[in-house]
Amino acid sequence: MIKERILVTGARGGLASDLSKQLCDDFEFIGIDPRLRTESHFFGDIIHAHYRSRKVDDLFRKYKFRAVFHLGRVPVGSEMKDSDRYSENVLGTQHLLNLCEQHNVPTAIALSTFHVYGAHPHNPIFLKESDPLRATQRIPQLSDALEFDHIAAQFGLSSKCKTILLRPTNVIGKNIDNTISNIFRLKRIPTPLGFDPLMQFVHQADMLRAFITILNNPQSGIFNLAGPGALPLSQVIALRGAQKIPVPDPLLKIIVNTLPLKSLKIPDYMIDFFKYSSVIDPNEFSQKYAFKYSKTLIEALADF
Amino acid sequence: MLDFKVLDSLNSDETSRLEGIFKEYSPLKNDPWGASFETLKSIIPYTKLLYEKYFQVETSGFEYLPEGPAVFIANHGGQIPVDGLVVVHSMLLKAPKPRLLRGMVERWVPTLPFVGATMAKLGQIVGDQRNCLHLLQHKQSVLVFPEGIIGSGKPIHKKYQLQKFPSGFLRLALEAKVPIVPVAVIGSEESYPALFNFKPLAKILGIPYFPITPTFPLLGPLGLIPLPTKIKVSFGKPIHIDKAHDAPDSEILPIVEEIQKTLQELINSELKIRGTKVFTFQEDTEKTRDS
Repeated sequence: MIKERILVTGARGGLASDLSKQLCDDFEFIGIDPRLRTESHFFGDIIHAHYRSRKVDDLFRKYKFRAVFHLGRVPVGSEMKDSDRYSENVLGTQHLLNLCEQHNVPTAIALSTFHVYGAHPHNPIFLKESDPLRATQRIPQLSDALEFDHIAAQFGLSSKCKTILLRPTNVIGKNIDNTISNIFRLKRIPTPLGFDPLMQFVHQADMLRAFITILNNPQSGIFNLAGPGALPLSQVIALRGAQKIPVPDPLLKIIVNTLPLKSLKIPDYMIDFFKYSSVIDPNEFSQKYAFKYSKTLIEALADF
Repeated sequence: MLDFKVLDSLNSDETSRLEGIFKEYSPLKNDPWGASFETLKSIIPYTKLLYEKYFQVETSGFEYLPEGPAVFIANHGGQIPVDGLVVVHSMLLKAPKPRLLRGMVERWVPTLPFVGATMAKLGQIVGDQRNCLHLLQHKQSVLVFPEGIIGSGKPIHKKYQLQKFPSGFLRLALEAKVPIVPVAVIGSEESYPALFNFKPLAKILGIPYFPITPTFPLLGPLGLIPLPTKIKVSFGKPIHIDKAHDAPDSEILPIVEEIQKTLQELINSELKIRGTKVFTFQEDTEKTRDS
């Protein structure tokens, strides 16, 4: 029996590995990743390519894809130059989605981030998908993340391809190598003095379950993803068994920018998310997809 | 003399009231809006000292309180939010059914180190229509001071004269389909008697008002301590209104005026009951009751 094919970007990442491992019996996975790192747990071939390159066009010409998972948005703080990051996130995403349209891919899933809402002191308590995206008001570095989000949202409105734009909160998990997971792996965590915002998390296991749920019955839309509950930063740190090191804001910026925290690069804009709550309302996805998160907040924090 | 024994800890009734509110958020006891059991538990002994010993707060009208969520509206004055503190405290620890009233804080409060985080942990949230509606739809009650910053900054010669109410609180109650509970707070408007607002300095400091009182800035930081006024919190009968929340101003504003009148009447009647005893150290002999 010939398996249907799924294309995954950011194939060397933890979520792509989880997805391919879980569904490799049913689907053939093809991955794209512009990063040079060689380590990978992806169950399928990985092509080293930029999202807007000819190699990607060739893939769409060669294979018929059941779905495209665009999980490879390049975050601020990655090893890429700013201009290259913009190119991947904005031009690359546009290119990929156009190819989905041209080649009649039935489903496209784009992984954005809750950072697009910004960590703004004026944010309402629970941010809904229809709320304004305020990220760039305080954080210009996130302009490419915002454009990524806009492009996918606009594409979803006009394309015949079912488009699901996901805005997950902080994704954590054992084989997730993102900034937030790495911060909470530290034993001593510097935090802005005098601030204690609410934080949410979604565990990689629930991200995987959400992907599979979408694949089984795709319904277009923009969806927040967040596991149940939210906790103040101080309590999250305590649950991780780590120590909070409160530092005055200007000094924290210097620490983040200059000192190597176990060789962890933290973009300074993240400080805002450690000052102001950016709590999203995940109900739209739960209702539309009858989705229940499997991990409680405490379980999620204990399992990475 | 102040009895500091109240700072020791909460009694069993107070603890069980607080635990009841956070029961559904076990085991971490943080509610989804940021209120924290532990923070409340550690702060309440201090508010209790102010409530019971310093301001010697009395209450009335608990029998009128609705079972479900409501928009509580109260008069505002006295420069610092003593009124909010005593209303929230009375609902939490004195009302027959304990509830954590959600006060509204200004939008810039979250930007203040320590203050913003503490306010959130005490259950107070940014005064945003969306936030209020969300709370009401989730069976929480909110406390609104419709006079806003104009009310809290009013000078002593305007005490207990309600400033013009905007329509936001009414539209909110109509959208959430909850009653409005008028609350008269007597005593708080004299606890920090502003003679006038020194506007040029307020402008330089970027604050809404800079009150000059008989003791501040004359006595320096000591002058910031509120006077020991005798406070009474009186809950009025809930007001139920059935109307579309997006009705035009021409239909909404007359109702707002009526509600303001109702609260003003409640305040006036409580002022009559209070008589001339303004401070806790005054003798009670001059008190006149007209009931």
